[in-house]
Amino acid sequence: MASEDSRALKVALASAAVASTGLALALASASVYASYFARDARGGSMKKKKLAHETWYAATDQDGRIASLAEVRKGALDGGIPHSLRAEVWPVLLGVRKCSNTSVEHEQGKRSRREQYGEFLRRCAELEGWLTKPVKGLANLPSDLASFTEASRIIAADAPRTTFTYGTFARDWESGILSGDDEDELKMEWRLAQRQRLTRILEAYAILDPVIGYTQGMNDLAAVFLRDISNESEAFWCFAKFMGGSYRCHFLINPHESAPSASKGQEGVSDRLRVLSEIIRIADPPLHKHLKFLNAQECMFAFRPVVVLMSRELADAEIGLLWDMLIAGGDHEPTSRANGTLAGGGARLFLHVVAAALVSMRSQVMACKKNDDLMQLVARKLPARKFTAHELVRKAMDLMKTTKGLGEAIEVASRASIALEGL
Amino acid sequence: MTGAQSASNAFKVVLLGEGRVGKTSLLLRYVENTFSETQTPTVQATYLSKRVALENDGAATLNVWDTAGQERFHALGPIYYRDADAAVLVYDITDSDSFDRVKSWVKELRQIAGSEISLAVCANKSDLERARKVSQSDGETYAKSIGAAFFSTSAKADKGVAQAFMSVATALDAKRGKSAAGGGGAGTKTSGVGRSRSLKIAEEEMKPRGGDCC
Repeated sequence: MASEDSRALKVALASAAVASTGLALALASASVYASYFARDARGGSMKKKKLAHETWYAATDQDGRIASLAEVRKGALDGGIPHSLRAEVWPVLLGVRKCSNTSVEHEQGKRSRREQYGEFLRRCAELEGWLTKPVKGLANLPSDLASFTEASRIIAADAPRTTFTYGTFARDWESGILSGDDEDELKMEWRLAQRQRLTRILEAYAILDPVIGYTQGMNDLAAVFLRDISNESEAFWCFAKFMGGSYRCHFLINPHESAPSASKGQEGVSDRLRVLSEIIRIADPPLHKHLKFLNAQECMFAFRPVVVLMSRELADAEIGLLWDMLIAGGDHEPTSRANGTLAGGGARLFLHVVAAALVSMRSQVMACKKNDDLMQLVARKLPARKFTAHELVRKAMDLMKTTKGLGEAIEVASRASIALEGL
Repeated sequence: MTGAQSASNAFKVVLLGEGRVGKTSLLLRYVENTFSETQTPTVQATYLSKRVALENDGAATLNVWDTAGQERFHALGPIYYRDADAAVLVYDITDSDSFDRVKSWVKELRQIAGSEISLAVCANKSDLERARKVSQSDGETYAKSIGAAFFSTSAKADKGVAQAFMSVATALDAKRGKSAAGGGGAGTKTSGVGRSRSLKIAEEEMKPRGGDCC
């Protein structure tokens, strides 16, 4: 058991090296914001093109190293990433794959990540084995057994009821990877396989991060990565990197109270909602006053969109595009400073996206007469608005110009949240 | 339905219970008459409304709140039940843990919301009789012990769902009629908004309320 634990620790330490690039990423993203504004001021068109294949390939040298990510970042932040490029671009933007790696080294990295992922799955199987063994005294039980059992029970309930879009299915079908005569039957098999992949990814994450384990809603996040990354281990690492950064605390529902002691005192989702409230207060004081009047200034009504990163509020295609932009902007990274000013990350862009959606619906928000109306607004009217990722991010960036003073508050808040910094 | 009428006879009902017992499915069966085997897990509570014609020729609007089931969302419970007229506690007859969870919900409701809130117990998934783990009599006995109505339901087979909500509506309507006739006794129910202000919830005491400072 001990050797298993130390192996997991080693994994975390090994990947810590990757995290040191965080500052550089944040710095890069700051300049990306700047160029975005400049371009917008010139009156950039509303319809943005997705990151071009040529831009991606131009960033790579002949050995497969990525010389500069600036153009890729800018392209992805402007218009998102095409489905066909996500499996290559996400791992790089998320820091799963190092830019300095040659193609050969990248393949080696992939292999070692697959081995690490395999270790997590083996640990899952071991813990599952405990459940069928006769127990001799509670003292001998592995310490992570209880949290894993709880996680795996809910994962088993949620995986079959997670929505999978047929994105990769259609592609695999068209490209002839899937073969057979009966499309419906194949679809069913494909769904079953996706569920199993999802279950494994979520269980592996519960091993990697026992404090969080599994919280409902994480299935939605993981499913997005499975949609476009067909390599299961790579999908896992991208999910873990995305999930384990600044968005991790969304899944700490009540770290101040009944949560496991390891998460006590950490930032939880309610702290994030408080930052959202701050953004609204600065960006639209009358709107905030109305929320206060409804005794809703803590923004609990926005719980769902914040926790699942708008994945229940946007159309399928837009979720991927929004996340492309968040990832390209380094929003999933812990916050960091550059020359005394805040450089990005810490879910700052994302919280502005949620604020932008609410500010865009301000007349409907103002029409709410009680807290319940606000809940209903977010649950039904917000999805019905069919926001595009591009318009929300554009509006969010506009808001960010007005909320510069907020940096400090977010920084303080998110510093406490990152326990998986080494991921 | 006119605003004034619905406001005068509207009830807030909250569905509570362990994850995957079928809270969302019961609600969707009742309000929209639909059912999905793979209903997405609920992350945040939402509500659906239904206008109910009562047996006494009156009518009521049920605003039914659906909540997230996972234990760690438990702390959010008070936000949804604090001004509820009734709580419908749902368990899955094939899962005895979910029955225990109902009991812990009831303890909490009694502690925080007192006897203000009417209770009903739904033993869901009655179509899975062969896999039953909680006997009907255990459910009934427990419901009786807490003064709650008991219903055996199946959202999938559409059994007992409408009856359950109808009984809740009828009971709430009768209760409200009584307290109105009683002429403002201690248990008088005012509108949901008014009452929510008077009900102190532990979570909210962390923050100062009221005082407008901006």
